[in-house]
Amino acid sequence: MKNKFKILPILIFLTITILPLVAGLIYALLNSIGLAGILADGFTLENWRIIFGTNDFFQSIAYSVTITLIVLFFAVIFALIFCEFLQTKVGISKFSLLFYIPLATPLIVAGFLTYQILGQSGLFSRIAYNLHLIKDTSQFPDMVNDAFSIGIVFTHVLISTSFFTIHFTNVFRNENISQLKVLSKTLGAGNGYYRRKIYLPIMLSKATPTIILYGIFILGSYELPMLLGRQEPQMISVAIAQKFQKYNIFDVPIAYCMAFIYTILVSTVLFILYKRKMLNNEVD
Amino acid sequence: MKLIRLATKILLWIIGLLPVLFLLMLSLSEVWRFPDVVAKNFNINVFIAIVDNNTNLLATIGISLFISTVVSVFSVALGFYFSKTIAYHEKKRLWSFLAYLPFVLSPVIYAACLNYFFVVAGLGGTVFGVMLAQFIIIFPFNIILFLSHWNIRMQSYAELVSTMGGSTRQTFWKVLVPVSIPVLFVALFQSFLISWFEFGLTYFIGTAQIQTLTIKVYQSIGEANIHLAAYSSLLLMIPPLILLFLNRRIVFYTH
Repeated sequence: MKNKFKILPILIFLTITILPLVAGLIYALLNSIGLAGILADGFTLENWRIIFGTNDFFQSIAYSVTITLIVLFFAVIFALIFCEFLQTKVGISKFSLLFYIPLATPLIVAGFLTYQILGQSGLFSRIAYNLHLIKDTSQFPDMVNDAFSIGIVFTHVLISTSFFTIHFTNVFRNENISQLKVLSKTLGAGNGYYRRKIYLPIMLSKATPTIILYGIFILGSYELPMLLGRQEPQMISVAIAQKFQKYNIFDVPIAYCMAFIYTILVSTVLFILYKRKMLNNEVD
Repeated sequence: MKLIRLATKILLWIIGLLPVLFLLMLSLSEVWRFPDVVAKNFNINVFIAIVDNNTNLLATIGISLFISTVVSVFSVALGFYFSKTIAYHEKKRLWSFLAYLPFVLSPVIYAACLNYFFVVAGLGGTVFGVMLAQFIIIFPFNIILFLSHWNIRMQSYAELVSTMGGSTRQTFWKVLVPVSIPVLFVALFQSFLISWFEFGLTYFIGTAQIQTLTIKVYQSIGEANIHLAAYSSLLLMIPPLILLFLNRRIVFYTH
């Protein structure tokens, strides 16, 4: 009887959480091999051949991973600097609004703001024009829908830096790093030694799971690359979504194929975190 | 010295609130032509826009509030109830891993995979369909959130009531729920915000017909109506900004 009470909630949990995911994945796979959907004409590997035969999908993945790594690199460095400065010099409470406002901004709004502020006819361009720094909008550096994805990276870095600064501040407090700093100073360590041997190793080892999970979030982000990105290359979410929305019906099975591979890739990364006991609630 | 401190504080507030001020400027104006830095024709027509049938803003706000409230209440209630069993289960780690899966996937890609089933069930482009889709990701979020809440202390409470003759129902309703009120509120606010900010699932499962505020912002940008986009953005930011002043941590964990 007791077991029955234990099994039922688990079954309901799995039905809500995992069943839709598994069903969606199976459908995506069947659609990609021609066994489901409007174009289902019998088993075929043609869509998989297209994915592996052309560069589009792998370009999208490589581009998404590159953007993610660049954002994480800058955001983590900035957040580490801010965290140490705020903790040791002034205290975070005075500045907390600066870090919380970006977190209270939905991504679609953040994308819209970046477009209106950094775009060639945006706020900064107008200020530059009125200061006679440029004579024409085209002279203003291209930072939106640009070749180097400056707009996407800038907006993601701004939001991620806020997130990581607050996260690192929590780690700093929980791990009693200020006490360790005093101790290391008492034992004769300099600031550089403290940063290299105490501050950075503790912060990074404690924050690694969160950094990876946040990386997955950036990898799959849609709103920012959709508003601020270019037609080519596209981040993976935008590439898949566009294939679904296009009028070319033959692109749909390819989109399912891409969605299937992406889901398996992300699940594998999460599984590695799980195997290494690195998922958040296990660390805390 | 006091004056410098006050000036610094005001400056920080201005920098912090810059996005909000910028949106306010675009919302309250009618024209923002190049090379004007400050927009022109400021008026309060925008407030009339709320009840204007052409913009449908009132309906949009209503739908957004309805979806976010219903989804957050159901996800928190069910998440709280089911997480208790999961937290004390011998395979807690595995269930926790599975709860992370739908939550970390890109909502757009997840929506694309689920779309077929929603269409077949007749739920594509319906408010209920959007709510169900959001529930599928916000429910596991609550499971993860509550897992750390069900600790040894909570177990001891339950055992104490049971030892004193309390039934399972009494333990749950008279002890576990009352002591969990603060965390339930935090979960409720967070779930509300996740639903309020949600774009990908809402856009694809709702087939752009269910106009929440995020969809409204997106469509206004597409129509190059930056003033309506700014106004919708501002409306979108009101709940998180209120929460910022009530409890900053809620906004942080929502991310």
